[in-house]
Amino acid sequence: MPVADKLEILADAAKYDASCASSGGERRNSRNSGGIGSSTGNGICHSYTPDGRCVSLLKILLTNACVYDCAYCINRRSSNVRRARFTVQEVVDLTLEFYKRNYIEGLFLSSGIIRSPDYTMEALVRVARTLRTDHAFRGYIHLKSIPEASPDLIRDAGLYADRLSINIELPTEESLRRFAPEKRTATIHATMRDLSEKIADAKTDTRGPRFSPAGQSTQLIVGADSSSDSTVLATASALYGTYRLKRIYYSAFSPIPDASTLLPARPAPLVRENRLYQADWLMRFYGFSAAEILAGSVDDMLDPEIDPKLAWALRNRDRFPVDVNTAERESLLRVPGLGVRTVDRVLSARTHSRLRLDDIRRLAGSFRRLLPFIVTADHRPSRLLDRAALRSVVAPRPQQMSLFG
Amino acid sequence: MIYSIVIEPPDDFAAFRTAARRLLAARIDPADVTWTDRREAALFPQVPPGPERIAAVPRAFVELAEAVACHRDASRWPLLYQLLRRLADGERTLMDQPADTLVHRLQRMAASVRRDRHRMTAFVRFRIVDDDDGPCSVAWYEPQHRILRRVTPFFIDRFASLRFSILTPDMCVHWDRQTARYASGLSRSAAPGGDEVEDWWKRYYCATFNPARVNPKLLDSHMPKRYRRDLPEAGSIQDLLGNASRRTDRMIGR
Repeated sequence: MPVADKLEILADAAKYDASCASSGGERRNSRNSGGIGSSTGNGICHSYTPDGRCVSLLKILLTNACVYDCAYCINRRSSNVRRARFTVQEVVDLTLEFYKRNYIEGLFLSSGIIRSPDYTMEALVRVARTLRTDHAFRGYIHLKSIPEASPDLIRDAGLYADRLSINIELPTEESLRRFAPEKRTATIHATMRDLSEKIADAKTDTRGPRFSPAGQSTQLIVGADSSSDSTVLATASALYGTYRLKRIYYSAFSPIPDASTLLPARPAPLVRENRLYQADWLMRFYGFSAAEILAGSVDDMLDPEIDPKLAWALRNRDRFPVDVNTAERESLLRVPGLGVRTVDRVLSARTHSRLRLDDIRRLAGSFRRLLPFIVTADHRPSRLLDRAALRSVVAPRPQQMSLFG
Repeated sequence: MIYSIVIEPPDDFAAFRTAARRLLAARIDPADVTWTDRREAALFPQVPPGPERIAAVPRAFVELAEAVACHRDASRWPLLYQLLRRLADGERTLMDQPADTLVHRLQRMAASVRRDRHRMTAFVRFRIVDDDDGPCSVAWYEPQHRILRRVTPFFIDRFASLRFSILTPDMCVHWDRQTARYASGLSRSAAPGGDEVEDWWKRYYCATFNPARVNPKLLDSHMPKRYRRDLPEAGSIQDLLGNASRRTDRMIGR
């Protein structure tokens, strides 16, 4: 099969993995290395596809043949999808040729499990090792780590990769058993724990061998099982806390060709995924706990119509208004419409003068939706917060339905 | 007395610095200075060489000014001189006051330049041609601001062992694995055509798109249309959008 045909099949097979980050690695460049590649620590999205998702890494599988039969996966054993398999050299060459043309930041390599976990993991590691040692490649490498692979192979993977990931896929053990009969939650967790310890050790002992300097990540599919958003967020929060994950990717269940009958026929709404990402940010950067994001909600689901911070504020009106001239950073971060950067600018600006609405307009960009929640030198919201109609004042207007939909 | 200051080339931060130090030493008011990119457009006498006053300015000002220097807007030098003058006149904390009208305006200009620099690192596409000295990567790119000099170190870091040229309408850079040489600008027609790898890249782009998640608005916000003209993969966008719902229907068996 021509390499370009394999590329098409094995990119199509890999696209359900939402991970795309190329950030968080070491700073390095190719001056004096003889090879190519650099990393500034910040990721670069080199393109965007019409689904609005970024293209940062060459995201492919080594092969889409698989001995496992996970219902949600397009590559499961019982699927009649076309199969292909790259050689190690083909992946190395494609990565280098794409990289030289500035199409990508590096490689995201995963694989179906063929023969055995060790056999497959060894091939993934061989790609990364060839790029790093034979070609002095200093671009980004993300490798999927196969939970059942032997510790030596995982150690080598961490030596060459910037980031490793294991997908937990489903938010509960019960769902995993139902949809992925060959996978075990316990094995996945044990490998995540092992990775988190090795990552932490390598950070402490900077003279020791390198290990996955950009940390580890995972993916959760939402909407394939019946788990609520609060279950998803509780799982996510536990994963961040226990294994120090850098990122959790939420992937709204998307219909796949030749789908298993265990799966819902309809895709999960993309807005659900979007709201989960917003809630995830609230947990990581805004000081929210998983429990309080949805405390007091009706059905343990994030509101599809308004973002979770605004929804929280509407349920916790007694926490507002917040005085931008005196409030603590933690309280400012809870104001809908104030992001982390804006809050830091407010803190800097207010040490020099009492902030007025015009100042806030310059610092925050827009301020219409802020008005009910803040106090400034020249503004105090009237009884707006008590009005039941507050939601309709601050929520974005629903788009008019198309007459021709 | 009104003075004309010529800053040439138009992104020459060092020339601005020298001129500004002379203006500060002579205590010339920002309102009495006009700034221009071209010698022949200078209507008033130039500030004669003389003593320079090196004001102690915060690091944040230098970073801001270096970015703003690349901005295409003609107001960049007068605004920077205004800010410098206020800093030199004792407003020591001005850089920590993001709500100040002047600081805010300049920070927005700097942000626009930084965004443009980031997009250039993302959207430059090289094509590899062979000449007498072997393979050379050549890219044509139209930046929004005059950022080529500032972005070149990024590409040298990344491709130090390759020969490359980046052509823009303002200027070009040629890297020969040792030094970067700058030359005058060229037009798009000077850039080479695509090769087989570019076709693979287009096929990859189409394959990694999931038609069940089609979202043209998000695409437009991340990759505005004006950047797409020189992205080889962007030629597929119309077809991918047009066929998305049919492909999704087929997947879910409707």
